[in-house]
Amino acid sequence: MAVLSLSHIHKDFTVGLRPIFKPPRRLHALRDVTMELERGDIVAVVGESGCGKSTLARIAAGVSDPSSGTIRIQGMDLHAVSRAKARELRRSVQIVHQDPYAALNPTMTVYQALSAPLLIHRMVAKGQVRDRVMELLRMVGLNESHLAKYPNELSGGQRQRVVLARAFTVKPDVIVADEAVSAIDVSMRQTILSVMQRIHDEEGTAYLFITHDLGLARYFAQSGIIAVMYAGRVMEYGDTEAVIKGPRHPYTAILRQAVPDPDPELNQTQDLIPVRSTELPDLTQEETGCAFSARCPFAVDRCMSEVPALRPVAGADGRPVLVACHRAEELELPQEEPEVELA
Amino acid sequence: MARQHPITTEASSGAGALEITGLSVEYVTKRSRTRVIDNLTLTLQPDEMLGVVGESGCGKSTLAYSIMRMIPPPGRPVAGAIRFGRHGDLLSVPELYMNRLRGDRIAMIFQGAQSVFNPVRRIGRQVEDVFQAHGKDRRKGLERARELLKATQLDPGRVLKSYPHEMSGGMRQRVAIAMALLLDPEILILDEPTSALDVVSQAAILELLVEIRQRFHVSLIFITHDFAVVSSHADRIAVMYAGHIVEIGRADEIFRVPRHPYTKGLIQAIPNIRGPLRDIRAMDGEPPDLSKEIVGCPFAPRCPEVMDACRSYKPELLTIAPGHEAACIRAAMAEAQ
Repeated sequence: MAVLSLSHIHKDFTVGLRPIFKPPRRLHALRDVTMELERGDIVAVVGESGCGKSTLARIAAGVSDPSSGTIRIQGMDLHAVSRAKARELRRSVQIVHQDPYAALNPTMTVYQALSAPLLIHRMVAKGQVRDRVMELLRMVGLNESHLAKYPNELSGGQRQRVVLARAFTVKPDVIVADEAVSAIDVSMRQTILSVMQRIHDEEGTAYLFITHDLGLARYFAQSGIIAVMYAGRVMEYGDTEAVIKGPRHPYTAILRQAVPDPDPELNQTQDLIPVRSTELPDLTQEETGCAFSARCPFAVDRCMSEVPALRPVAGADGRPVLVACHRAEELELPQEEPEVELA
Repeated sequence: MARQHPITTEASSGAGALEITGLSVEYVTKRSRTRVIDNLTLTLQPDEMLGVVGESGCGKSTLAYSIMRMIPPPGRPVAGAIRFGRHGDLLSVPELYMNRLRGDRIAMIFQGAQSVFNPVRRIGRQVEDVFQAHGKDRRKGLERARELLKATQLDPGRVLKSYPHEMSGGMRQRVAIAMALLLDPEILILDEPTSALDVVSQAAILELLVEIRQRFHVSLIFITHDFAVVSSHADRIAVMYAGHIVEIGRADEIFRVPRHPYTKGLIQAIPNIRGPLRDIRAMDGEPPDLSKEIVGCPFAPRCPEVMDACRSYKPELLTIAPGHEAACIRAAMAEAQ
């Protein structure tokens, strides 16, 4: 049974002034997004700013409600159960934001930040709170010396560890990590990722890992799934290595080739697909075709007139990936070249 | 007023476009003295693209502000010189003269292209402002702006009539680059020019910078926290750590044979997209507190290759191979053998 399932999620926002005699302008942030996380699953959601990935994170974590669609936690529809039950279910999905500076109350010590949810949700008996706090701290690689510290006395990396420990106080089944390491310096990122990985391995926690960084998505979801989003829709969804090595959607291929490689030589063979534009489509317009068609070098008439459904296509390793492109089968997108031995 | 300090325009000598020697910058308050740049020496070659890479607090932005002589107080340079060809030491030229150099001979694009424009004036007006501020012909300015906007692959007619909010982030960054080149500077400093952009826009801007450098003969200093961004496009890379340049050299060489353990760590921390998935590694610990005196190599507490000598002796940049310098005792020893 899926610990978290999102089906046909739509999310609209009203933009601008509300006109009196006609309906307000609607911005379609998410369009028909369906996703399921089983226990221990890792799904990385990648896309550019404005693609809806943060809106998806907020909806998955229950911070924001979808305009339509169903959210099920442990198989139970949040709208069909009582409010008390819905609250209890929601507790099993926790969110970690990008900015650990803003996520912690500056007037609470680490001990207070971690003990409050334990007491409020009666996770442990009162006498065991301190033990549990210590256990959580050790889990994220901090120790007793950090207990009495305030957030301003901690570095960014340490703060993000406290945020992770706090998310874990209520033993969630799913952690939604919205750009959780993007604000952390690269030299310290991996320690945060490995803490998240260890929680996954030991507790079976599932992750919805939201990032703009394709390389990071590949690393964290190496045994999981990548979902590529564009203009509020999932464009490609499949096993991480299959999507990275042999993207089937032109957008994924363009995204992949745009990632700079630290190896100067690898960059010279780049830009195999011409990029027509870097502009995002207007999300307040009704969709008439594929959202990517205006930027897609392979677009044909059908792409402008018919919204492509997300459908299974044979991926690079033969296993199916889901792709929302009319021409997925016929296009020959650049695939990962056979591996070259580096000296 | 400004005419009292006309900028000399004779051709510069063959030396570096900019020579920084022994630069130290401190932020001094009543309670603390923080040395954010410590005895930094760097030469910028004419027409080169130099990538300066480092993590938050390493001093890379302060370096840019020092060159522009715009270090926000209470920061100030306490030692060193920044020689800019015939103009002399930028740290000691009169403020009025510096004012004329800024934007004219040395231009800078600040972090966040959204905020560099005046939101209530059309781009065309802001172009005119630049020429007016520097006492130059506004009409000629618009012609130059058209040429530059075309070079940055924008539609000049449309852009000049637009307000900043009418453009996307990628477009604004292109306009910012075109505007920075209006007065034909010799040096253009870019502080995290692509960090707020999406990766597809970033790739386009990087290509544009490479092209612009060749076409307009301008030296670029590209400051970023992202090693891959500069190693893929810059000629040379300077790696900064705790206010020092710890390694500098040709981009391909720094990537292939990094000599400083910090550079090695930085490269190993990047998750790769091409080729088989590599494991990424973190460095232990955190950067040092610059308000305390640092004895020995500033990277020693985090260094996986640390030796006893590293804790007592502060390494200087030493040539390891032609055009490749590193501030590491172990690297220097390996070279000597």
